[in-house]
Amino acid sequence: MRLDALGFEHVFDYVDGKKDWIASGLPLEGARSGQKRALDLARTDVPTCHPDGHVGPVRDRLEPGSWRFCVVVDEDRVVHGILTDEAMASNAANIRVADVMELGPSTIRPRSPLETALEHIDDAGGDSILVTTEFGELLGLLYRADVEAHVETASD
Amino acid sequence: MRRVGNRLLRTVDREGVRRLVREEGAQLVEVLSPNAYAALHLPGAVNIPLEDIHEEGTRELDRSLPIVVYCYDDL
Repeated sequence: MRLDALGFEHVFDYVDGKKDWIASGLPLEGARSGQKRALDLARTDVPTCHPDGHVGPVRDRLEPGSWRFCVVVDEDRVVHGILTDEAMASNAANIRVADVMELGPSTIRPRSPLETALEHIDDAGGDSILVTTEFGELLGLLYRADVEAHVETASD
Repeated sequence: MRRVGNRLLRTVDREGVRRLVREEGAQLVEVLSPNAYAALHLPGAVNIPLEDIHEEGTRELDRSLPIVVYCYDDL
């Protein structure tokens, strides 16, 4: 790097670059920074549970009808699966979450455009999609209804 | 650290960048084109395209503060 050749002594190389920063969902500046992206509209209070936990405590913790699933994450908030309300209702309290969770939920990156997010929600066949970093760390849950409400408001 | 030619560069990850900015007042330098910089850049970053990294092009940088350079991904 020529900066050191110019006499700059404290030079660091952010090797992973802007792509990494964008994928993390951290704030950005620039002409495109104001455009709403997936994480901007995602719910961040989605309930989580650990794969080694048990169904009973998770079921007791959630208010009936409030959430239709709980996201299964590890200590680093990396997504392992989802524990659906059907699984919570049909399994005994002492069953391990990991044994009844659904694997491989669909995810999108935090800076995904809203149009792309809707396409992914359609492809997944549901009404929402998890927003994660490229390493699978949970950032939030994006509902189709929230995207559509935003688009409708923005077009007024 | 990583070797580029016969030089060793100090590398930093995302959290390292945030710490350098927050605690040491590091200056962020994006070496991409002006168009790429104008679209999206890290908060507070200045744009000095690679071809402008020379005495004149870097005169606005403070030599006493750390400088973090970045591209889109690996330089």
